[in-house]
Amino acid sequence: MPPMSYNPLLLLFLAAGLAAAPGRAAEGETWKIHPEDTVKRRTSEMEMYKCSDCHSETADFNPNERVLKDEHDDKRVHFGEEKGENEWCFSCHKQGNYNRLKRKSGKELGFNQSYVLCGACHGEAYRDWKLNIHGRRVGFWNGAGKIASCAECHDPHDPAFKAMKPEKPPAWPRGKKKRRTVQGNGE
Amino acid sequence: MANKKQPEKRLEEKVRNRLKTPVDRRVFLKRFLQGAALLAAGFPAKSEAFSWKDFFQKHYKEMTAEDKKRIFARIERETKKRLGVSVTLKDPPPLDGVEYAYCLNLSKCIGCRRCVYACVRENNTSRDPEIQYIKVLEMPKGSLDVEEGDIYYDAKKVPREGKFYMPVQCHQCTNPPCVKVCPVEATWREKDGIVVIDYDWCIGCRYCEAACPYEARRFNFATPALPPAEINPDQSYLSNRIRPRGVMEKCTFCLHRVREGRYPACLEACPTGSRKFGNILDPKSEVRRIIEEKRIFVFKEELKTHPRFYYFFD
Amino acid sequence: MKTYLEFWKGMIYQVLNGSRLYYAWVGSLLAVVLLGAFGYRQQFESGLIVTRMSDQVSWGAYIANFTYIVGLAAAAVMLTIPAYLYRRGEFKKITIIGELFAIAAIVMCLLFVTVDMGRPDRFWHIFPFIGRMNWPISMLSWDVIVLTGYLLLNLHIPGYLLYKKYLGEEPTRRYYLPFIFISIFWAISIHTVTAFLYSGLGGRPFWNSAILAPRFLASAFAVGPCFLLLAIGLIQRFTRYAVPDEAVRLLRNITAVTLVINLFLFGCEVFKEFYTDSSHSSSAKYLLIGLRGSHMLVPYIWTALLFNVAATLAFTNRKLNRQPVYIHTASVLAILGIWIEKGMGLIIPGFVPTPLGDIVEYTPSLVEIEVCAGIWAFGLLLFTLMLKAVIPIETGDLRVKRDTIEFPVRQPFGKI
Repeated sequence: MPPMSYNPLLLLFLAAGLAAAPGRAAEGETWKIHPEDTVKRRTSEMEMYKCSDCHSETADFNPNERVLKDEHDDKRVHFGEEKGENEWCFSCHKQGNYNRLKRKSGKELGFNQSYVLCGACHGEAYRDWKLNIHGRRVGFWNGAGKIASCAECHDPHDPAFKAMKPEKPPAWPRGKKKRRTVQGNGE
Repeated sequence: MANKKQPEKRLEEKVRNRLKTPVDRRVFLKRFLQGAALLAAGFPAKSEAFSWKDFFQKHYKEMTAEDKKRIFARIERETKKRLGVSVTLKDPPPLDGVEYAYCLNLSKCIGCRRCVYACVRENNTSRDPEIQYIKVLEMPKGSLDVEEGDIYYDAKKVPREGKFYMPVQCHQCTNPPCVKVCPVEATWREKDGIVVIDYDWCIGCRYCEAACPYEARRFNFATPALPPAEINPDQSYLSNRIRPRGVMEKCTFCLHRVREGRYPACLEACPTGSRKFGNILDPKSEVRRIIEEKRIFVFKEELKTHPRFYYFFD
Repeated sequence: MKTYLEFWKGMIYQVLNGSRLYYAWVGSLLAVVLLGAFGYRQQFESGLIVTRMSDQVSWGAYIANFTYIVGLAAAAVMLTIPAYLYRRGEFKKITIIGELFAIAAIVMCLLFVTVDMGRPDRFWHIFPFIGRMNWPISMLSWDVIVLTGYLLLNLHIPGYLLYKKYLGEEPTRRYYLPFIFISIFWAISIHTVTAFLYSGLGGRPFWNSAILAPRFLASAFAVGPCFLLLAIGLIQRFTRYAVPDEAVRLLRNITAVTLVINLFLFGCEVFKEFYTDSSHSSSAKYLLIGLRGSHMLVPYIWTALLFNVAATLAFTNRKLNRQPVYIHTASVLAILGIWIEKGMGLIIPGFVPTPLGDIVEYTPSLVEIEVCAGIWAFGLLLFTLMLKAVIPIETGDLRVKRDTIEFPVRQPFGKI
C-alpha cells in the first residue's frame, strides 16, 4: 500500500465527501453567522423529490405557459402576477434537468441552494436573511445554528406567509369587566 | 308558649346578671388566651422540618460556593419531594464581554402567541393561577398607544386585517425602575444585562410590580401549580426553578439557556423569525446590525429606562 | 427601678378596671380584632390569592389603609407645633393625646405592611446589617427608617413626660425638648417619604406628580385633627381630664384651613388632568368619570368630594363651627371623605389603566375587609387602652406613693 497522504483514491473520496457535505453552496459561504452553521436541506422536506423519478431528462415537455390540470395542479405560481410577468414553471425549474433549478441567466443550482434563486430577485430579504435579520435561526447565538432556507417558511409557489390560528388568550382577570363583543377590548 | 318564653326570659336574665357582675380579671384573661391559643393552633405547622439555616439563608450575592451547593441540593430535594420530579439546579455565571439584546420585528410578528406558551413551558411558571411572562398586544395599525391595544384578542386566524402585534416582556432595562425601588435588593442587574431576582430573598412587597412601566413582573399570589409531567428539569437558581409562594418572578431572557450560548425559548418557538437575540457588544451580531441599520425604537423611551429590547419595522 | 415597675403596674390596673361601657367597648374591639386575626389566618394559609389583588392591581386595601394611617400618625404634629413652636401653653396639655394617637397609628401602619407582604417570614431582610437594606435608593427603605424612628420618638417623649408627672417631678428640658422639635420635622418626613414612594414612579403617570407630597400632607393635616377633635370630645364627655377650650378652638381653626388647602390641591390636580387631557390623564378619567365603560370608583370619589366640601363648609362657617355637634359631624364626614379620596381614590386609579393599557378593577375580598377591620380595631383598642392608662396620670389621680404602695381608691372616670 502506498503511503496514505499521497493516495489519489483517498483524495477522491475526500473530495466527494466535501462536495456532499450539507449546506455547502456553490458560492463561498462566508456570510454565515458562525462557520459551523448549516442551512436546512430542502430535498429531505420535498414530497416528490427526486423529480427524475418520474421525469426523464430526455422527455420534452410542453414549453407553453398554461395552467396544469393533471399533476402539480396545486402548484399555482402566485408571484409576479402583479408585474404582469407571469412567472411560470420554467422560469425557475430547469427544463430537461428537473432535479435542478435555474436562474434567469440559465445557471443551474440544486434545490438545497434554492435561496440563491429567491435572492436573485428579492435582494433585500436575501441580504437580511444572510445576516439573520430575516428568517429563522435556531441553536446557539454564539455557536453553530440551523438556518431555515426561504422555502421552509415561504411556499415558492404561494409565498405569502399563511395566517394561522393563534394560541389561546391569557386568562380573563377576576377584576375585568365581562366582554360584550368578541373583538376589541369589549370596553 | 310558656315553655318557649321561659328559655328566652332566662337568657335575658342571664345576660342582665352577667352585665351587672364585675368581670373577673382572671377569668377574662383566661378566656382571651384560650381564644388566642385556638387561633394560633389554626396556623399551619411547617410541612417539613424547620431549620434556622434555611430561615436565615443569605442573599445570593453573599453565598459561597459551599452555600450554593447546599442550597441547590436542598431545592432539588424539595422539588423531588413535593412534585416527584428530579431536577438539576445550575448557576451559570455571566459570560465575559457579553451584554444581551433582543430585537423584535413588528412587521413580521403575526400574534400567534407560540412564544407565550413556549416560555411558560420552559420557565415552569404556574398554570393555576396562570402566569405568563409575555403579553402580546394586538394594536391597530397607525397607533402606538397601548390603550388602543388588546391583550385578550382571540381570532380564527392571525394576523387580522388592519392590526399589528407587539409582544411585551421584561426589557432587561439598563436603568431599571424595579431595581431602584426594591427595599431588600432582591432584584438586581447582572453584568450581562439580565435583571434577576433572588426568589429566596424577595419579601413580596410588590413595589417592583408597581414601578415597572412594561408590566413585566409577576407575583405568586398562591403556590404555583403546574403538572409534574410538564416541568422542565433543566433549571437554574436565578431563572426557571419553581418559585415559592409570595415572591416575584419575570422573564430572564432564559438565563439558563443564553449563558450557555443557546437562544431563549420564545425565539425558537417563533414561526416567523420576528425575534432576534444576541450580544450587543459584538459588532458582527445580528442584533447589533439591526440596531445600526434598521429603524429601531424603544417602547416608552421617554422614561429613560434604556431597555435592551428593541422593536423595529422592516 | 421599683417605682418604674409600680408606674406600669398602676397603668395596667387602670387599663383593666373600668365601667361597663368601657368593657363593652374594649370587648367589641377585641372581637373585631379576633375576626381580623381569623381572616389573616386564612391568608397565611393560602397566600394572597384570598385577596382580590392581581398582577394588574398589585396594591389594594392594605396599602390604601397604610397610606391613610401614615398621614394620621403625622398629624400628631398639629398639636406639637402650636404647643412648642408657637408657645401656646394651652396646647401643651393635650400634646400627649396626639403622641398616643401617633403610637397607635404607627402600630397600625406596621401591621398593614406586614399583612400585605407576600413573605412576612422574611421581614428581617429589610433591616440594615442583618438584612440587606437598599438605602438610599429605595424609598421603601427610607420609609422603614422614618416610621421606626417616629415610633421610637413617640414612645420616648410621652413615656418620659408621663413618668415624670407620675413622680410629681419637673421633667428635664434637654431630655424631651430636642426630641419634640425633631419629631415635628420627622412627622412631616414620614408622610413625605410615603408620598415619594408613589410620586417617584415614572411608569405610573397618575402618581408621578410633584403635587402628590403636598396633597398627602394637606389631607393628613386635615383629617388628623378631625380624629383628635373627636377623641377630645369623647375625653371631655367621659373623663375629668380638663381640655382647655382655647385649645379646641384653635385646633378647629387650624383644621378649617387645612381642609380648604386640601380641596384646593385636589382642584389643582383635576385642572391639570382634564385641561391637558393627554394619555397620562386616563387614570384620573377612570376615577372621576369612568374609562371605556369601567366606572366603579366614580360614585365613591364624588361622595368623598361631597363629604369633604360639606366638612370644609361646616368648619369655616362661623355659625356652625362653634357647636360641637356640627364640628363632630363634620369631622366624621372629613374622615370618611379623605379616607375614600386617599385610599381607593389614590391607590386604585394608579393601577388603572395598566402600563399596557389594560383595565382591571379591584374590590376588596371578604378576607381583606376582615383583616382591615381587625387592624383598625386593634389601633382603636391600643389608643383606648393608652388613654385609659394615661389620663389618670394627667389628672393627677395616679401618682407614686412614696411610703406605701397604694392604688387610688376613686376612679377618675366619674361621669358614667
